[in-house]
Order: sequence, then structure tokens, then C-alpha cells
Amino acid sequence: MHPPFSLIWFFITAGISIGLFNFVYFLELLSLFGKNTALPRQAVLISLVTSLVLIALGAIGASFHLGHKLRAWKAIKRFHTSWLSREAVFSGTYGFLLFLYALSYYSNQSLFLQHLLGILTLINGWLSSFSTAMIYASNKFVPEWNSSLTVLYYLNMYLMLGAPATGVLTTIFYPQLSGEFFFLTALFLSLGFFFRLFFNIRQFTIPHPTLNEALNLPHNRPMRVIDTGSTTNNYCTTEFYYQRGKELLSTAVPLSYIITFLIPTFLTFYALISSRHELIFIAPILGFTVAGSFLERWCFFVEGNHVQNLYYGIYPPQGYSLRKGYTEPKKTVIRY
Amino acid sequence: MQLALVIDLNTCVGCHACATNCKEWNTQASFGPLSDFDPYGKEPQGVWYNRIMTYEVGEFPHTQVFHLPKSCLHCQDAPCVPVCPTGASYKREQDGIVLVNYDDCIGCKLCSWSCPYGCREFDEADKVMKKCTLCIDRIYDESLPPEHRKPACVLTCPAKARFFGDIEDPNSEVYQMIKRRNGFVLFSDMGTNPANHYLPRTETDIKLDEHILEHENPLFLEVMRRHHVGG
Amino acid sequence: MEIGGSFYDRKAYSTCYMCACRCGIEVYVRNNKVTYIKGNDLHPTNRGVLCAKGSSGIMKEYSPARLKKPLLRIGPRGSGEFKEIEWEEALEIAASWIEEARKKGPHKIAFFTGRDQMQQINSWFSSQLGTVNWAAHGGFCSVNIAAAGLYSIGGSFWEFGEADFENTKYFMLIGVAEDHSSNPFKLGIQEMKRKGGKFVVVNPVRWGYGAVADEWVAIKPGTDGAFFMGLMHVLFKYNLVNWEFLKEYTNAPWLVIKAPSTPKDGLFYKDSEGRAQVFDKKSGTFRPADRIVPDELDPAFIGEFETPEGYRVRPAFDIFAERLVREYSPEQVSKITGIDAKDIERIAKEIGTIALYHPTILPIEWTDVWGRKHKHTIGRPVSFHMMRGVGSHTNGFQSSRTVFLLMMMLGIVDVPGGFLNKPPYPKHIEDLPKPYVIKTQDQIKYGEAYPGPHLGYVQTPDDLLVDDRGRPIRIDHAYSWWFPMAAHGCIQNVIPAAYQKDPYPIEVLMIYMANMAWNSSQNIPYILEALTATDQAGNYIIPKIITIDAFYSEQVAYSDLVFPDATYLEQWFALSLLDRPPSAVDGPVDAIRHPIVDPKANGYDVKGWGDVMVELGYRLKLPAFLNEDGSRKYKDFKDFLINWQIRPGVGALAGWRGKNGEKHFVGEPNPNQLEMYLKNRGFFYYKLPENMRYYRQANKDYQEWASGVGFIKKVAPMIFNFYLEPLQKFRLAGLGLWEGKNQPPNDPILRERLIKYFDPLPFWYPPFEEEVSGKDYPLYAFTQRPQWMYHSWDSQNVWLRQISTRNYLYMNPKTAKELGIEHLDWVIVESRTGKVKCQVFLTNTTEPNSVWTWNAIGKMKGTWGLKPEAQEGSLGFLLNHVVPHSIKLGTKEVFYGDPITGHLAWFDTKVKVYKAQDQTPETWPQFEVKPLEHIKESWTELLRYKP
Repeated sequence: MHPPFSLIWFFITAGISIGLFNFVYFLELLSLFGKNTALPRQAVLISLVTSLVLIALGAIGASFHLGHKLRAWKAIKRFHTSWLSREAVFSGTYGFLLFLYALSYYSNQSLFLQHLLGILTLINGWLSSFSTAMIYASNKFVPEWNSSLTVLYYLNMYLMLGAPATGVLTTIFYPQLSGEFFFLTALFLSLGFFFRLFFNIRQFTIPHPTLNEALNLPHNRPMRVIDTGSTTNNYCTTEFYYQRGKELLSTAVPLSYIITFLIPTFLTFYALISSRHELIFIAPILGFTVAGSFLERWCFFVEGNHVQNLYYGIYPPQGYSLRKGYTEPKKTVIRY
Repeated sequence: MQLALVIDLNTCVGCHACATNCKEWNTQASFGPLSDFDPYGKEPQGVWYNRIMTYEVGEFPHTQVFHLPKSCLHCQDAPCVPVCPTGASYKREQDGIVLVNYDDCIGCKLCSWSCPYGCREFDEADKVMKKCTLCIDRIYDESLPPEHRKPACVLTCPAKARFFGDIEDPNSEVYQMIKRRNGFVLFSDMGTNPANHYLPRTETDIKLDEHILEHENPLFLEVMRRHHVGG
Repeated sequence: MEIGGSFYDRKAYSTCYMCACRCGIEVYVRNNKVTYIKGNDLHPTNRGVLCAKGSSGIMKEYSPARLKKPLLRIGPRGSGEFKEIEWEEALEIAASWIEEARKKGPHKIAFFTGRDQMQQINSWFSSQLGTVNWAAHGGFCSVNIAAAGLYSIGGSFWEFGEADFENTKYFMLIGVAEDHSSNPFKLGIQEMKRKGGKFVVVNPVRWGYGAVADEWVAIKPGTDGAFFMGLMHVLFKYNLVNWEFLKEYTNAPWLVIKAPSTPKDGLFYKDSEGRAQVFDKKSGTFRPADRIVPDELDPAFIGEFETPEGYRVRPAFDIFAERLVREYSPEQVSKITGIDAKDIERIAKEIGTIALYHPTILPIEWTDVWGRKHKHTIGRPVSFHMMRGVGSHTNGFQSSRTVFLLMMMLGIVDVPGGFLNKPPYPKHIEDLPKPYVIKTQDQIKYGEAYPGPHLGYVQTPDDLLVDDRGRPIRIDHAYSWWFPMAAHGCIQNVIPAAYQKDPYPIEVLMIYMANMAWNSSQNIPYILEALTATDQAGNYIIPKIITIDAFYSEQVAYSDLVFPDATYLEQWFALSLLDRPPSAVDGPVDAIRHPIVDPKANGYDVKGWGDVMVELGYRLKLPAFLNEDGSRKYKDFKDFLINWQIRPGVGALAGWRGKNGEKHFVGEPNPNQLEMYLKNRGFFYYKLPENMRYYRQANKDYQEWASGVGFIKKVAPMIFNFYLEPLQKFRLAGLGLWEGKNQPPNDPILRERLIKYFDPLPFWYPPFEEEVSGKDYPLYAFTQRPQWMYHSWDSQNVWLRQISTRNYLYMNPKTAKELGIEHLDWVIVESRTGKVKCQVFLTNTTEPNSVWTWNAIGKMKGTWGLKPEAQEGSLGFLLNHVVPHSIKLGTKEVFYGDPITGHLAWFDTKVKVYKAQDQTPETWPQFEVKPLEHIKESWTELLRYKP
């Protein structure tokens, strides 16, 4: 699949926004139960503004993916069938509720109202991220994506981005809690690493369809494309296939592992072991994770092979399968 | 009712007539224009509803070749419809045609991602998704003579390889053809249940009755004898 | 979305011209722009369907490559530097150039027309100029097929005839490079396949039509003749021969004199009245091979006899049978063709059995020219169609003849289920026109018209156009000793001959609708050299080049003066029965085109060639364009089409003649004729009654009708030339035994050529290139055109070019493996004359001795309205660069062509292919000209067509 930058941008901005809010609000929530976890007001406000700005930037960025931005509101119409519609609804609601929550927090509204809004925002945030993940995970025609691992990784990615982001805040404003966020960062990075690893390993095991299946033709012999009906590219060959990306993939995937997981994990563990819960660690951890995630999401797209590419001969070669029930072409025999 | 095309691979010679006539009709009609980018330059790239691919099967000298005209298959369980966030991509109740309402399309391209056949094309100029309409603007146009109320590709096909009709009506030509000729669909196991069907290649073979062949033509033998051929 | 908004405010019927098939079209127009083109439902050629080209006609109409005004060259030739001039100036310049040349001698004007559908009128116009030098494009197209057919059965394939798809059960398509013809064949093949018939493709490549073939015979290029000789061997061996047909309709039983070294050798044995003789087995005597009472004859086909005069004589069939038996057993043929001997035997048995033992019997009564009434019409449901794969070789004429002989042996000529002629064909072979003979090049003086046809079918060496020293009279060397039976002329030789001043220099070269500077010529670097070469004084060796074309082609770029032609939707035009009509097998058809779109309104100051011709004719004061009082005879081409008559009562169009349109075929001009055509959806179709549709070689009712309308000259059996005696006369000339006026020059190579190849019975010999290129160049390289561009010149067509902006060299994977070449490698294709760099595409659809590509997709940069960076100029390539245009025979360089007809043997080319050292993705060689200014202005980034 051709990696659309606008969507990758949305993944990361929404990821940080929702992840950050998730942790910050969770600390607020814990404080209801008598724990002294709530961040200082200034930190909360910074985090809320950051989340708001990011989700707004994400939405603006994502709108560049759309042909008709002004009609985007129509995306609510198919809530009952479309994950994209749900994503739009939930992410929109999330942003709106987040704004209300920030307002209520800023104006010191009643705790009930604050937390009512907070919980709703949190739920919407998660529903939004789940919907986003499901857009990809539910696509049967990109077998690499069509897996619960896509969802797991994606939800975890929000936490993986949110944890170090919150870590930065705590390190500055509430150092007592920073250790926990180094720990959480380590946890979600490790989970992310394993989900991604399984995601990659799975690619070797999933049954890829063949051209024979795509054409469903009664031949059990090798088939090749000899003419695609146009010698230049068309929408289908550019949207679902990215030649340059495929060439770069063998470099990009290891690099994304290094940047997203290896370096941040190393730094996190180093900071944890040496008990140095400092900004000079957590800031680069966040930086690497974010930068790495951009690359990782890029790989996610390029790794996806859409089955329509079979018709163009640009699907990974799978040979051909001798399938039961396939027979030679029927012969009409005329006797003379 | 499910309107659909049935394409006979036993006569399709891959001439692209259906593709260009489709383009010709649709660029000027209700769903047009169909943009062509860089038309005279290095990478001309246009929007087409219908494309023809050619495949070879087997190895020389036992090579088979076939052409596959591919346009929207108007799937009965069209995966492109539920994913559309706005409902712009929809399947008509009354005749099963899958259409895109340009006014509602936001150009998110998700429907094309959800089509295993690559039968939707995004028009970068109009910023909306486009696809075969089964010439809905022909088949219901009462100003056309009844015999012309068919998709342009069907009318133009020089190999008469394209048929149009209701595949759910047991009395229709297309229904009968699918049954009689073992019509099949593309990617049968994707759960899409395509409405467009293809009719497979068949080979005509001739079995000769050997004993009507007079084994040795006396004239042939005479010529051999006269010219001392073959010892 | 609105459904059913009217897509037109005007609808017109016309004839397509996107290729040469002449299909009927319905053109829909909105706001003076074409919105939609549909096949004409009632037109017999396409019955409502329309191919990829026809449907893309709109994009030709609005192509940026279109010329807008007459052009006068201002830079060096081939630079592409022109200035636009007014029509008045252009016509004046052309008239003065032509006039000047005519004064030096009318033969100094050479007018050659390409994809021309008004040949009869163009030939007539050239006659008015007085020049001998006119021909259309047949020389590089299909003259071998046409000539072999006309000399053998008085008809041929393509516009002359085709398979009876309705009734045939076995159809063999031989060497048909995709889509010749377009819609009729697709309609026909599907029809016969649906009825369960068997479809066999004989071709080194399996692609378009091959996809639906029931059998692919992957033949080695240039060996078709051997394959068919092999089939005939098997037919003879198993007595699958239609003796009755051979006896009644062919000269196979006629006796041929065996008298080596005498002037009678190889000629028919005739009685004192000049009647050819057969040996009647019934009476044991020699009897005139007289067709009047064929039932009484039982002619011998095999044997050798001695005549009362003491001649040894053999039936023509006997000579052929000996050849078949000796040299063409399936095993021998297998070695030549690469086809398994078993397959050859099986295929022969299939066609023989079906034709002989499973006739189609139609309940149609008919009467033959001998007066016999037949209760039924017996059909032989086996049919063939062949084209350039067979024809475009140096053995093409004889190879094509093998197919016609096979058709005679099966008895499938003009019978149901077999091959059917399209009226005005068939014709009596002896009555075919001959080229008008002049004995010196300047015999026709200034002001005189050329008195007869330019082209035709020579019957003896005395019909040649050679001077007293045996040198060619025509610039293209047609009807010379080197290419004696050049039935369509040799357009491909014109530019090299004019460059070499062989036989003489010319003054003005006029080209109409042919891309002679590019894909219609061979060895392009040499052709471009010829077009631009200058003498010591700096004058071009070909002094003036005038081109008539609608588009900025390579040929236009290499011209001095260009008349911008109107498109097929903008001009009056006749698809005439005098020429290449769109006739159906069951009746003659002719048709018109007419202006549907006004070019002026769209900014094109163009004129159809017809109008230009009428204008030039008047300005040059050519008598045929003037009334007796010297006033102008024809207002414009429309007027010309109505009133011009080639002989009294016969004009360009056959329908609705007579004052009120009450006469067909023959009748005085009808001022409203064209309107009547328009009313009848643009065509005239005279469907023959059933009893006149078959066996027209001897169908009394048909012949009486056909002679009445002037298609044929008499009611008499048409005897098919199983044995082509005229060839023997050339052979005798080669032996020095010809007793006529013309004698070949005393050149041993030429004489050997006449002796060897002018065999009155077909045989197979290796293509000439085999000898010169041999093992050093092991692969055959050839081209075909894809169905979506066949016979069109549409690389500038936005829609069609998207299907193929570039081409590949197709090669069998086994061949590639031996050569160390991988899929998509860039390779060098090298022939004995040149090299081309291109990209390889491996495919099992190609037999291992062949490499091939789509022709005419590669373009000269800057032409055809394409941007210079277009792939056509950088990734697309032209194989023509490596196709030899000449061959050295002894010490003489001879134009490369069939020794009998001169047919350019472009499929002979042999090459070696190796991986290019430089793998840069770019073809080589590349050529470039400047695009016209207005073309540059029309380059848009985005095209959205919706008028």
C-alpha cells in the first residue's frame, strides 16, 4: 500500500494526544480515591492543551487525505457500518469532550462534571483509537493487516507514545511520579516490540492468495501477467503498491525497530536501573519513540499487500497452488 | 433483481473496445468527465471504469492466453459499501447496481481499499471515487431505443463477449448462460459474492473417424512409384 | 446525478476511419463537439459493434497533433521548423512546383498514397498529371496476399473476401498480425466458435485472437509455405482431394508441355484454336479443357502423355503431386517449420475430412454457367484467412499461393462454409487490369494524361514497364524485371530510389497519409539520410516534398510543404466500389463520409485532400478539371463525388444513380445522391439473392448480373490458376527462351532469379535473409500492431496511448536463458544493417526462434503532438531501424522484397540479441524534431472531455 503521510501524521498525533490524556486523566481519577497522584494544575493544563492541539493538528492533517474536506461532516452518516465513520465520530467527540473537559478543569467546575466529562473523553479516545485500528484490521484484502495484532499493536502504540509523553511532564512537574512513567514506558515499549515482532513473523505464515485464486480459473498451471492494459501507472498501481517503498523496506523495517524500540528501551532501562529519572533520558525516549513510530507506521503501509495487486502482477510472488477441484479447460469434442 | 455483466472468455480477444467505449460514453455522460492526467506527456494516467488484462498460462508450447476485462463486479455482498463513512458508496435495492454518489463522496478512498478487484478509481481532479455504473444512465434512459438501453461496453463488444441482464431471473439470458456454461466469479472465496460472472474457455477438439480415410491413395502410390520416392 | 440527460443535439451516420475496416458509425454531437461514437446497427461490416479505435475517434478529432494551417518549411528539412501560411499561398506554391516538374517531364512527379481509401481517384488524379509514378501502400502492406489471390482465384482475402463465418466449422487464421480485420473478424470468430467450430491459429505468437484459439500452431517465421505444402501432401496421400472441384473450376488437369530448353517448355499444351488440353481418360484422347461440357470429361490428373505432335505433356497436378510427394512429407516439413509431423498429419486429416465428408448442404438452387441446374448448394465448411505473416517474406508470393492451392484442393472457394468473395470480386483472372505500358520514361509529354491504369496484373514479360535496356520506368521499380508482378506498386522503394536517382531523379515527391519517414519505411536512419541528403550545391537530392496529412507526423516533419488534411469526421469521402469497398460477402456495399463537425469552428483551417485535389486540378488547368469552355468543372470534392465518372454511368458511388436516384451501379449522376446516402445511414448495400451468393466463379445468375453492373466483363467460367502460367513466361525469359518483345538484361543474377522463383507451381524456399544473415543472426524479428492501434495512426490518441505508451521486445524464456538475458533486461537487437536498444519482456506466447514487438509505438521525439519526454520517444522503439531495405545480390544492391511482387519482406529480418552493456532505461537510437508552436500550447496537464 502506498503510505499516505496524512494518515501517518494522524496516527502519531492522535496517539500522543489520546495516550497523554489517558495517563494524565488516569492520575486525576486516581486522586478521587485518595491517592496523591494528580499532577500540578499547570502540568495538567499543559497536557490538555497539548492533547487538544495534537488532536486538532491530527484532524487537520488527516483531512488532507480527503478529497472533499468540507464534506467531512458527512462521515457520521454510516456509523453503523463503517469503522471510518466511527473513527470520525469518536475522534471528533473525543476532541470536543476534551475541550469541554479542559474548560471545566480550567474553570474549576464541580468535580462531578469534570469527571463525567473526563470519563467520557477517555472512553471516546479509546473508541476512537479502536476504530482507527479496526479500519485496517478489518480489511480482508490486505492480509498483513487483517489480524488482531494490528489492533493490539495500535492500542498499545497509543500507550507507548502516551507514557513517555506523560513521563516528560512528570519529570518536570512531579518528579515523584516520574519513576512510574519510566516503568510504564518500558512496559509498553516491550509490549509494542513483541506485538510488532509477532506482526512481522505472522507475515511469513499467513496464506497469501495466488493469481490462480484471484482469477478463479480452472487451470493448475503457472500464470503470469503479460499485459495490464496500460504501460503506465494508474490509480490501482499507485495506491496499492509503492515500488520505491518496497525497495526501501528491508532497510526501513530494521531501522524502525531500532529507533522505535531498541534505543528508547535501552535508554528507559538504563534510566530505571541507574534510577536517573531525568529529563535528559525521558525527552529523547519520547523523541525516538515518536520518530520511530512515524517510520514504523510508514512500514506498516508499505508492508501491506493488497490482493488486487495480483491482477497487475505486483503482488509478492507466491507461485501457484494446485487446488482441488481445478480442472483443465473443458473440451468440446466433435466427432467426424 | 441483480443486474450484472457476464463476460465470455471463450470469445474475448482482448481488443480493449469495451474499455475505450466505456471511457467514451462515461466521460461525456452523467458520471463524467473522466480525467486524463498528463495526457500527452511521460506518464499519461486516466480514470477508466474498465480495464483489460492479459495473462499467459503454462509453458511453451503448451501456452494458453486469456484476456480479462475487469470492471466493477457489483458484488452482492459488496465490501466497498459498508466501509464508506458517508453512504456515498451504495448498492441500489432495486437493481443491485453499486454506485458512488459524487455529492456525498469525501474522497477517503477507503472503498477502493476494500475492493479486492481494484475496480474503483479515484479521480484526482474531482476528488471523488469513480467506478462502473453499469451505464445506469443508458439502461434507464427512455429516450434511447430499447435495444440501446444496455451498457456501452455490451453494445460495442465486437466479440459479443459481454452480456447484460438480471442474474437472479431464471428466465434471463445471463442466468441461463451462467448455469449452462459454468459461469464463475473472480476471487470466489473473498466473501464478496460478485454479480458479474465470467464464462470459462472451452476447447473444441475434433475426433476423426479414421476408417473413412482411404489409407493409400492409388494416385499417391503411382506418383511415388514413378518418381522412385521412398525406396 | 441525472439519468438520461440528452447526450446529443445532432446525430449523423458515417464511416469510421480509425483503421481500414470501414465500419459504419453513428456519431452523436452536442455543441458542435462529438460526444459519442457508436457502431451503426444496420451496417453489414460491423453490425452495431465498434472496436477500441473506433470508440476513441473523439480523441483523434481533438488531438493536439492536428495541423491547423498549411505549413511551409523554413529550417533545414527534418528540423521541424515551419511557418504557417494561408491556403492561397500553399496552393500557389504547390501548383508552381508541380507545374515546373511537369514541364521537365510528368514522371518527375511521384505521388504515393498510404492508408488511402480513395485510390481509384488518386490514381486518376495522377494520370491527369501525366505521371507514371503513382501507387498506394500495398507494396509494404499485403501485395503478396492480394496478388497471389487474384492471380490464383480472381479474389483474395481482406477487402476481397473472407471466411463464411456463418457456416464454417473449421477456421484457420494464418500469420494474421492481430486484428486484420477488426470488427468483422471478431464478430465472425465468436459466431463460428459459438456454433462449436474449431479455430486454429498458425502464428509464431499467441496473443489477441490466439487467446480464443482451440489450437495454436507455433510456426517458425517464414515457413508457412512449407507447412501448407505438407498439409497438401497429406491430403493427397489420403485422397482427401476435391477432384470434382479441381476438374470444374481450376486448370489443375490442364496439360503442361515438358520440353526443356524450348520456348514451349512449361506452357500449356493447346490445340490449333488455342484451347488448352486435358487428357480425357474416358476416351483416352486429348480433349480441349473446355468448360462447356465438363461432365463429359474425365481428365487425368496424374500421368505423363505424348501428344500427336510429339510433346511430352503432364497434367499440372501431376507436376505438383511429384513435388508434394518428393519434398513435403510431414517429416520433411516438420524439420523446416518446427511443427510436429504428427500435428501436420492430423490437421490435414481434420480439414480434409470435414471439407470432403461433412459438407454443408444449403437448400438453395442455382444454375452454373454451363446451364446445369443444381438443386442444392454444397458447402465445404473449412476456411482460411491469412495476412502478412505469410505475405511479408521474400517467399511470400509463393507461400501465399500454397494456401490458395490448398483451398482449391479442398474445393472451398466461394462455397458455403468456405471462403467467400466480396463483390465486385471474383473477377476473371485474364480480365484483370494491366498497368498501362510506356516504353520510355518521358513518353508522356507535358499536358498529356497518363492513358491507362497505373497498377494491375501483368500476364507476360511484355506487360512490364521497362525501357529498351530493361531498366525500370517507374521510380519505385514496380513492373521492372526485379519486381515484375508488383500488383500494388512498391511505395517502399520510392525514397531510396529517388535518393539514388535510380532510375532517374525526381522533382516533386507527394505523400498522402503515409508515414514514409518513420514506421512505414525500413532502415530509418538511411531513409532520413535520403530525405535530407544534398548535392554539392547544397540542394536537396529529393528537391521538393509535399505531404498531405492531418497530424504532425515524422513524414510531415520531413516535408517542405504540408497540406493539413481534415479528419474523417470533417470531409466528404467515398468508399467506392471502384476501390476498396466495405462490401459484404453477400453483396456489394459502398459508403460515404461527410462533414459532421465543422473544423473551422474548432480552430482548424484545414481542407480534405479531395477538395485540395479539385482545387489543384483546376489551378493546373488539367483538362479533366475543366469544362470544354475552360471554366471550372467541379466546385469542390462533394461536387466531384456526385459528377465525376470514370466511364459513362459509373462514378465514385454506385447507389442511387440516375437523375432521381432510381438506378443503382450504372446511371447518370444524381445531384441528390449524397443526400440519399445520408438518408440510408451513410451506405449502400445491395444484398444478392441467395442463388447468386455462391460458386460465383461459375454462377450464371450472378455473372449475368455482375456483368450487367460492370463488375466483370463476360459470363464465363473463371478458371482458377492452379498452375500460374504467366510465371513460366518470366522463367522462360530468364532462360532466354521468351519469344516476346521484352528481354531481361543480361545479368546472370537477375536471370537466375527469374528461373528459380518464377515457378508456376508454388514451392517453399528459405527467406533471402536466411542466406545473408544465416547463423550469425539466429532469430527472426518482426512486428505486429496491437488491436487497439492496428491500422490507425494514433499514438497521439490520449486514450489509446494510455494502453501502450511504449513497447517491449517479446522473447521466449528458453531463448532468453540461452542468451543469458533476464526479464526486463535492456538488450541490443542487431541485424546486418543496424542496431536498436530496447527492453525485453519474456513470454511463453512466443515461439523460440522469434522476437517481436508492437510496431509504430516508438516515435520520433517532438512528433505526434507528444511532449518530448513522452515514453514513445525514449522507452518505445522502432524495430524498423534494423529491417534491411536492400540486399546485395552478387555485385548489385537490390531493394529487399519478394522477387515476384516486390512486397517488402519486413518479416524476413534476422537478428542477434544480447544484453546491453549500458542498462540505462532508454532506447537507442533516438531522433528528434521540433514540435510546432501551437502544439506546445495545447499541451495540457489535465484533460477532461465533456462537451
